Amino acid sequence: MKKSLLILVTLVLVLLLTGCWDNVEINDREYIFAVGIDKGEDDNFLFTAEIPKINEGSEEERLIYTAESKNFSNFYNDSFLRSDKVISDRLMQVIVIGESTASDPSCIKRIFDEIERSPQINRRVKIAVAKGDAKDIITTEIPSNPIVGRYLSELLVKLKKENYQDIYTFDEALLNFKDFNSEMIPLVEKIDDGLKIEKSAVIKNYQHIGNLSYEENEIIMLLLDPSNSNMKSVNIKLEDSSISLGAVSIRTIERIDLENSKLTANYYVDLFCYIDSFELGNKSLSDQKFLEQIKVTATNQISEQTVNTINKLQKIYKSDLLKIKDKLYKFHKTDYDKIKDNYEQVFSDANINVHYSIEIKSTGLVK
Amino acid sequence: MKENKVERKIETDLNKNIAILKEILKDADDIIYRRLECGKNQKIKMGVVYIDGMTDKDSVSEYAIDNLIENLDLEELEKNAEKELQGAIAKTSISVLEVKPILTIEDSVLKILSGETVLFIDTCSKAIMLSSRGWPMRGVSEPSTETVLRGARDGFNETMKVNLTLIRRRIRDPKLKVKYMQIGSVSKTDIAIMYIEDKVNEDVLKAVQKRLNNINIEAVLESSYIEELIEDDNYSPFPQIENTERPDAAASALLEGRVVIAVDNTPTVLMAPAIFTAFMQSSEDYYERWLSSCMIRIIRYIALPITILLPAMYVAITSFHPNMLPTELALYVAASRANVPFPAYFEAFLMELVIELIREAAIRIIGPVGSTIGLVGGLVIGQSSVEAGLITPLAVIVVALTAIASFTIPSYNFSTSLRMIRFAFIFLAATMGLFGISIGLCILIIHLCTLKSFGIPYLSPFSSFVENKKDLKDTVIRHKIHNLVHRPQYLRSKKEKGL
Amino acid sequence: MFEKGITPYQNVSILILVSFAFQTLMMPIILSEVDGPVGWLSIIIGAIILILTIKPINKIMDDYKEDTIVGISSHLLPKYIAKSIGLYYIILFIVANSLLMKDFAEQIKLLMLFKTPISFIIITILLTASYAAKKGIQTISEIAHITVLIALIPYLAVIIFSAYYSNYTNVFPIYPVDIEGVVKSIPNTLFGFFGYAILMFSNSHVSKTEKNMLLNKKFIIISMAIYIGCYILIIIKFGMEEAVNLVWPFLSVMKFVNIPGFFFESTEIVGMSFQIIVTFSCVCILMYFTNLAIQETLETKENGYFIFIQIPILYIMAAALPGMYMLYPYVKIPAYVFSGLNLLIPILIIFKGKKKGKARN
Repeated sequence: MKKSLLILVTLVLVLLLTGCWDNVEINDREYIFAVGIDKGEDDNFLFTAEIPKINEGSEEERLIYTAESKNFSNFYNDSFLRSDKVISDRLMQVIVIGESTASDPSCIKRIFDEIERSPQINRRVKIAVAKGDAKDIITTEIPSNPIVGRYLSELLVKLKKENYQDIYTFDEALLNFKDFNSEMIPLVEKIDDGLKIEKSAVIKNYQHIGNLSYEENEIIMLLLDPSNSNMKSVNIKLEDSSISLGAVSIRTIERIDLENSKLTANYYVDLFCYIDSFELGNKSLSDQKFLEQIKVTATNQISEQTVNTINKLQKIYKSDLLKIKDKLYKFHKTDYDKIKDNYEQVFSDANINVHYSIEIKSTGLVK
Repeated sequence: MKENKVERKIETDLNKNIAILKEILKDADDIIYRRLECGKNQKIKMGVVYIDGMTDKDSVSEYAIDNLIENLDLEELEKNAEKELQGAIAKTSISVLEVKPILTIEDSVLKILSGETVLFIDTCSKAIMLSSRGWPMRGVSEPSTETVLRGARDGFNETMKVNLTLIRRRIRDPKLKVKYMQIGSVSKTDIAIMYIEDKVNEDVLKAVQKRLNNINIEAVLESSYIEELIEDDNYSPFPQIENTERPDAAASALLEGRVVIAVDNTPTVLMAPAIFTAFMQSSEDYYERWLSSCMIRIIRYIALPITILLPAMYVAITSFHPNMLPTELALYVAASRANVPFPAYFEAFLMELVIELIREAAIRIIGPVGSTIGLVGGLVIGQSSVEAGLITPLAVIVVALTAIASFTIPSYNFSTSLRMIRFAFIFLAATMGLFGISIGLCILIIHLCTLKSFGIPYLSPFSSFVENKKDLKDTVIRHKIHNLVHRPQYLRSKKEKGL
Repeated sequence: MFEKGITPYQNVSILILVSFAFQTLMMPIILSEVDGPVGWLSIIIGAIILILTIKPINKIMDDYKEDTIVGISSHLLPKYIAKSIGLYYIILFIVANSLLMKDFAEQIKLLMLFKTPISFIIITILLTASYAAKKGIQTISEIAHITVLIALIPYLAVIIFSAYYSNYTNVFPIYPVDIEGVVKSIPNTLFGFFGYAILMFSNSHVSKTEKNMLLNKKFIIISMAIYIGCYILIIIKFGMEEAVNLVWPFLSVMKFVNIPGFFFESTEIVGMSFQIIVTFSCVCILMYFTNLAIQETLETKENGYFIFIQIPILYIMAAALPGMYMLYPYVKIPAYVFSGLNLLIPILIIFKGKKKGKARN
C-alpha cells in the first residue's frame, strides 16, 4: 500500500510540476485557411496567408498577411512576432502556387518537401497553380464567399467529384511526382467577381511547362478514368443546325503492348449520349439517317480533338499524362525495365490510338 | 464477536429475578413489569416483562398467558423445558408464534430488548419467551430509488422478517437456506444470509461468512456499514457489493448463485459478489422485449464513456487538438470563446461543480420545491452564465449531456463513483490533452482489472471474453430468455444449467 | 480459491498485442529492404518457419510444466549456458522495450504534444506501466485481453477505412520477385513476431496447458494476417516509392482515414489514442517478463522488485538514444542478432530435449 501511495504521489507531483506546455486556448490561435506562394528575391518566397477573423457576427472577414521568407517555418516565425495570437496551419485548406514559383523546379522541390515533412499540415490540403501571381488570387474579393480558402477548397472537391480534374490534393500531386514525373494540377484564374478553374497546368520534372485547355483536359480525363468520367457537351453543326450531345456513360477497353521499345496503346471508347439541344420545330431527329450522320460528325470531331491532344502530349510536352507507365510497370515489368531509362522517347514515339463509337441513347423528353 | 461474559442463571425466586432485571434495565421507563397470578386455583405467580410499543398486545394478554399456563406442568418444565412447552402449546388455542425456554438473565434481557415478552415463573429456574414482536412499521411500498415501468412494485422495508418473506414468496424451494447472525456489540442487529444450496459457489459463501464473523463494530445502523466492512478493496471508488430495495432483484441474484445479506432496520439488502456488468443492469431489462432491452443496454454502454469522458474531451480538443474539429465548428467555438475570461478546463470544472451542487441541493429539499430547484438551477444558471459571458454555450451543452448520461446508469452508487473519476479526467486532460485522457484510461483499466469481488475478477466476462463467451449474451445485449439458460460462467457456481 | 494461472486466450491476446507493437516498429525496415511490393512473402516465410518450431517446443514444455524456457534450459543444458540464455532474454526485453517506448514517444511528441519535453512523455508511460506490472500476471493478462477488445480491434477497424484513398493496383508487380531482398528481410519480419520470445515465458503460466500448441499456432496465423494486412494497406495507399520514404508509415496511413460521416477531421489523433493504450499494455507486459526473466536467471524468490530496477535503465535508454530515423541503420544489426538467437535457442533446446528423451528410452 505504501509503495503504491509513493508511486501515486510521484505521479501527481510530476503532473503538478508540468507547465501544460501545449495548452493554447482555441481562441488564442489564428488559423491559416489559404496560402499563396510566389517567388521573391534572393531565394525567398513571398507568402500570402489568408486568416479568417473570428467574430460572432454574420459577416465574415479575413486578414491577409504577406511576408517574404525562406520557408513556411520562417513565415510562421515572422507572423508570430507581429500578431497577438499563435498562428496555426492545422486547418489549412488550400495552397496556391504562383506561376513564378511553378516555373522554377528548385522552388517546387523545396515547397513540396517542407509540406511533406510537416506533421501539422494535413496532406489532404488542396493544391492549385495560379495564373499569374498567387497573391492576386488570394486577395480576390468574392462577394458570395469572402474566404477564398474555403471557396477554392469546395470548388476543387466538386471538380474532382465530377471528374473535371485529376488531382486536387497535395498528396496526389506528390505521389504523381514520384511515380510519373509529370502531372496536371488545376489552374486558377481570376475573372471579374471571382475565380475560375477551367484549365490545368502541366508540371513536368517539377517545372511548369504549359497549360491544357478545357477540351484537352476533358479528353485526358476521359482516358484516365473512364468509369467516372463524362463528356459534358459535344457541339456539332450539321445541315445548318447546331446539335449538342452529352455523354452520360462511357465504357473503355485499353490494350497496351510493348515490344522491343515500341509502345502501342489502343483505347476503344463507347460513348452513350443523350441529345441535349437541337432546334425547335425540326423533325429530323426521327430520321435514322440523320442520327447516323450526327454520330459520324460527332465521332470525327472528338477524334480530331483527341489526336490533337495526344499529339500535344507526345510531341510538345513529352509527358505521359495518360499514366501508361503505371500499367507497364505493374503488368509488364520485365519489358518495362528494359526501356525505363528511355521512357520519354519511347512515349514520344508511341502509337496511341483512340477509337470512338457513339450510341445515341435518348433524345430527351420529346422526339 | 461474543464477549466472554459471565452468564447468570435465572433464579427460582420471582422477586429476585425482577429485582435483577430492574437493576440491569434501570432508568428505562418504557419497560413494563407486570405481576400475574394464574393457572389452576390462581396459585402460580408470574412476572411478565416487555417493552411497551415493541410488542403485539394480543400476544401478552392475560387470556393468552392464562391459557398457556393452565396446560403447563412446572416440574416437567424444569426437567425438559422444550418438550413441555411444545406440548403445552399444542393444547392451547392461542396464537403465539414462537415459544422458547430461556436459561440466563442476559438472554432474557436481550429478548426483552428485541421486542419479545419474557415470562418469569416463581419456583421455576427457566423463563419462557413468547414471540410478540409487533412494532409499528412502514408498509410494503414501491422503492423510491429503483422505479420500473413494468414489474413488481413491492419493496423491502425495515423489518428483516418481512424482507425474508418477500423473497421467500418468489423462491419456494427447500434449497433456499437462511442463516441468522447477530452483528454489533451494542446494537446486536440481526443479519440473515440467504443462498440457494446447489447453485451457490461454496468458496464465496465461506468468504462471506468468514468476513461477517470477523466484524468487530459497536453498531450496525445500515447495510452500508456491513458493505464497507466486508468488501475487498475499500480504497477503490467502485462498489464491489450490489445493493437493492427490490425483492425481485434479490431473488434473481439468488437464482444466479449469489449470496444475499439482509440486515434488520434497513430496507437495503446486499448481494455479493457483484461485478461491473451487474451495476449496468436493471430488472426492467428482463421484463421488456429482448430487442428493446438490447437497444436500451447498448445506449447505457454508450452513455458510460460519455459520462466519464465528455468534459475531458471538450477540454482536450479545444485546448490541445483543435484540428480534430471540423473547420466550421472550430471557428464557431473560437468565436464563442472570444470574450470568455476563463480557460476551457476552468469552465468545465466550474460547470461540473455547479451541477454537483444542484444535485446535492435537490436531494435535501423535499416536496415539489425540490424538482423546481433542479429545473431553475439548470436553466437559469446555465443561461445566465452564457449571457453574462462567463462560459460558452458549448460548455453548457457538454455538461448537460454528461449529467443526463450519468442518470442512465441504473445503480446510484456506481454513477457516484463515475462522477469522481470525471474530475480526475478533466485534470488530466488539462495537463496533457488526449494523451492524458488515454493515460487516465490506462490507469482506470489497471484498477478495474486488479479489483476482485470475493475472488471474481471485476471485469468479468470481458476480461476472459473468449472463454466466457456464453456470458456475453447478458452484458451489452440481452439475449432471449431461452438462450440465457446457462448460469454465469464467471461465478463458477455448481449447477451449470437452469434458468 | 480460483485458478492461479491465465486462461489460454488471454495468453494469445498478450502475444498478439506485443507482436502488433513490434510489427508497426519494423515496418519501415521491411519496406525499404525489399525491392517491390512483395514484402508479404517474407512475412509468410517467417510465419511458416515459426510454426514449424511450435510443436517441438511445446512438447518439451509439456515435460517441464511449471518452468519457463530459462528453467528448462537449466535442466537440459550446462549451468553457464542456461545463465547466458537467461541473460540474453533479459537484454532482449530491455532493448526491445526501450526501442518501443522511444519510437512511440517520438510519435506522440510530433503529433499530439509538440512542446512537451519527450522525457516527460516517457516517464508518464513508464510509471503507469510499472504500476501495472507490479500487480502480477493475472492482472496483466486481463489488461491485455481487454486492450485487444477496446483498443486493438477498433484501431484496426478504423485503419481499414483509409482504403478509400487507395489505389489497389499498387500491389503489383509481383513477378519478377526480388528473392534476395525477400530473404534479407526475413530476420526483420521474425523480429516482428516478438510474441514468439514471450510465449517461451508465458506458456508455463497458462492454467490449461493442453490447448497451448494449437493456440500458439493460432497466434502466429492471426499475427501474420494482421502484419500482411497492415503492409498491404500501406502499399496500396502510398505506392512503393513513397512508402519507402516514410519514417512512420502506419501513422501516415492514419492521416488518410475517411469514415463517411465521421466528424473528427484529423483522425490520426484518434488512432494515436488507441495506440497509446496498446503500447502501454505492451510496455507493461515486457516489464513483467523482464522481471520474470531476471527472477529465473538469478533464481530469486522475491516478486516484483526488479521492476523498480528497470525504470531508470529503460528511461535512460529511451530518453538518451537519438531519434528513430537515426537509429534505423543501427537497428538492423540487433534485429538480425536477436531474431537469429530467438530461433536458435529454442532449436537448441529442442535437440537437447529429444536427445534426453531418446537416452531415457
